Amino acid sequence: MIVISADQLSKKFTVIRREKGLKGALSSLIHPEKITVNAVDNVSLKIEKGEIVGFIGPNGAGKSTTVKMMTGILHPTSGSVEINGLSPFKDRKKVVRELGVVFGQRTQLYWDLRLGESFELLKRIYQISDSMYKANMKQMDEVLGINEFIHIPVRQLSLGQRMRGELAAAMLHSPPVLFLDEPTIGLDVEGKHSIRKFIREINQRYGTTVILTTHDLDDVEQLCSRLIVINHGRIVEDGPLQDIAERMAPYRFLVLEIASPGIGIRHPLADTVRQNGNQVWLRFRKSEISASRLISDLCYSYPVLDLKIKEPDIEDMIRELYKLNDKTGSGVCN
Amino acid sequence: MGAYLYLAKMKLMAFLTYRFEVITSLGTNLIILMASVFLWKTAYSGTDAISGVTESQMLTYTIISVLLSSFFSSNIEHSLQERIAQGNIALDFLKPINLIFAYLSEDIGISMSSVVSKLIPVLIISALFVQVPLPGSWLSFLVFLISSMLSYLILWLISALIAVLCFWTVQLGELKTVKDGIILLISGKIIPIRMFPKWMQKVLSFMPFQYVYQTPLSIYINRITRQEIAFSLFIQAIWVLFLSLALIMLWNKARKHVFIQGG
Amino acid sequence: MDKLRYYLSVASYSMKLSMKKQLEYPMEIISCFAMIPMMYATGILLLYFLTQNLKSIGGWTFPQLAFLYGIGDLSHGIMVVFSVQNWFLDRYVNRGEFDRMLLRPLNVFFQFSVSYVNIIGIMDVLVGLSVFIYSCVLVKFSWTFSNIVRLVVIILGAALIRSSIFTIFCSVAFWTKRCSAVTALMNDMLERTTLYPMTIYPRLLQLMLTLIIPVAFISFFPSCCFLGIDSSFRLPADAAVMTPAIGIITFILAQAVFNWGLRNYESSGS
Repeated sequence: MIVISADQLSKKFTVIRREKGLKGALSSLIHPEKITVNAVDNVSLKIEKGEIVGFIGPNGAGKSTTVKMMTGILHPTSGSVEINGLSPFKDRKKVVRELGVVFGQRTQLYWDLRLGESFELLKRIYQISDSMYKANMKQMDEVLGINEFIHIPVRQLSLGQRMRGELAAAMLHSPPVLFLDEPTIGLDVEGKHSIRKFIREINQRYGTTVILTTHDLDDVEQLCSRLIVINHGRIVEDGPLQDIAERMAPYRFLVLEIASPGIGIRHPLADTVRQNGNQVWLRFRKSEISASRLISDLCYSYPVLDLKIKEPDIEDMIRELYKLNDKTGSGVCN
Repeated sequence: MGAYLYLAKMKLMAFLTYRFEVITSLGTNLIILMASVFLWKTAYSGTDAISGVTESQMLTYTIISVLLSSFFSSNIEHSLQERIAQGNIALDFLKPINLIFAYLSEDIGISMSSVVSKLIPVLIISALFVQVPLPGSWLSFLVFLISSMLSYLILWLISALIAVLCFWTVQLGELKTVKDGIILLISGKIIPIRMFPKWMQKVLSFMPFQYVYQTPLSIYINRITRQEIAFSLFIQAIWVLFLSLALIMLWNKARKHVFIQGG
Repeated sequence: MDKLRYYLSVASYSMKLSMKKQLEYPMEIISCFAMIPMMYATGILLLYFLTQNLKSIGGWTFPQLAFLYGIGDLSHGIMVVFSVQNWFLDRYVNRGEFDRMLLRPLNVFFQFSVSYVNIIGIMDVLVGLSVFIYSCVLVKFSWTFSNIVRLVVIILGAALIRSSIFTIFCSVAFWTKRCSAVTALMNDMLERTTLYPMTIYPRLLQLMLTLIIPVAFISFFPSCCFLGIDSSFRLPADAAVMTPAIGIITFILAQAVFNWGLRNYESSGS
């Protein structure tokens, strides 16, 4: 079942160019010069229920703008968006009731109030029943440890506590769709761990559809089944994480420790990329041969003492993607 | 010196960038001008003179008063309070410029921009509706300008003194508004001090406030004699000196306070 | 009925939280409480000194002027308590507060209206009340039941007019991201049109202040009604009917302008 669909979504901004110096200030007062910026250019996508989709792209690529349009905060210049069959601009209140949103840079909580008071207000706004409220709060505490700091004013919380509070606030009314904009930014290892655990749990337990914007590639690796890459306002890649990874970084590495240096390792489906004394680095394509096959072949033919498999970095993959996209200047696929 | 000029220029530019703001501020001054003119016109219907001031003198007084006030603005309370509240003030003290002059330069920059954005337009627009009075002679205009500059300094120094209090109280709260209100009342901005009861006039003559508006305005409308003019200018200068010394003293105290307390 | 209860529960809790938040800073409240009477004092003193020299302004004596001042102050005080957030609309825009409101299943204007209850404004109301009662003594106001009802209705309507005026003009922040200059402009304008009898202004201006920006209904027409002064305007009904009616009309207009600004905000982002 398709939960989110975007069709040819576009957003153009008009920016006034400011000249330098006093003369420039006076001239832009009388005669301002306007430039049009294509922040988002014909973005189309379909997201099914229960998917955890990673939304990545370099800074300024148009991720946040796209997310804002999907949540209804921003009106597109052209194109349309539907969440559960409804348009966020025409039926804002109805759509938003089924939405949970966390913006990593801005808070949805009430700064001077105790965390718990923010929750109480949300309970009334979303008309959450007492029983559901109690149940959800209990679950938040189980996974996020909310009760530990629920009586502290939001402005006194550490970043990790605040993010957990934001997540709890976003999920309080049990929305089927969750938008997360950089939820793990600035968190320490433990913080990131608990956020990821929470996302996995609600996805497994409730089938919550999650759209995750992030720069943290561990997030992508650990959570996302599907990846959408945006650059220059256009979708550059859209598909299962594994497929993209295979295309962008199709190689795996096998590091062998051999009995004596100088032995040349040869295999029809593997290239020797480096030899350092007893260590040999071999590169092979995942699609052509499995690791176990290669290992058994090599162990049969050569005196292998020890070995290690290395996966390509997801970062390498992303870097490849951005580089490729910048070179060609347009999307590889849409 | 270049640093101070730059500060002034920056403020001027920042101000001009906000077109809409500029027009609205202009509107405010126009409204104040119009309202005052109408008020006095109504008041004078049926009387020739009130406390010895004729209608045309009073209108002159009001119009020039509004023009002066469009120029007499100070931002130091606001900027200083902000810097203190944000905790950045200790950093400012470390910079190699005299902070007092820095703030003064900023405010002069703002005032200069007000001349362009408020004073001149108000002058032009109001000339269409009311007869903007011209000064008696070039000499009296010159003296008026000198007096106005002294007034500006007096007003600025008073504002600065109040702003410095911020070092100890942090939250100015409504202090600036109260100060503005008091000045409105007893500086001769709206009503010439002449119209107050005698005892009040006596008390006020010992305070700096009347020398902010009353003095330059009286010079403009030619209501006082040569000797009185000279005397008034002299008193203005004394107040500038006195308030400057007070400011420097208080400022140094504040600086010590900052370095002990830390930002 | 359920909907009303829903809105009431959100409104009351939101306002309660807003007041709680301010009570975290008692010193600020106390210092403002101390300053505000001084501000109003200078205002009334100005009137007093003027009338000492002039005997009357446009035919209005000091007691009558004080009444005008007082009734204007009361509606001002109420506005300052319940809708002063209009003055800070630009802050809401720049801090992304409207983004947050747009993500909640509630009318944004409603959320905005109940987001702040200004405790400090209570002092404004108290001072306004004192000035008004003092002036009532001076003009020998008759405290009949009908008069009191009319008074309440007028003051609430006048507060609505004031708040709507600010909503309309401060909505400019949706386009320009700033509204401090407009706020100052409106405050100055309101001061000069509600604290002095409108008759000091030329007829054209009086018409504008009645038909275009209905400031005259805030304190002038009501005062004329109560004091028995001829306002030289033939109004279709008593001020006690007109003022609240105009209040409701301007409120509807204010919401429309606000929503228009919000749509623009949604189109241009932040």
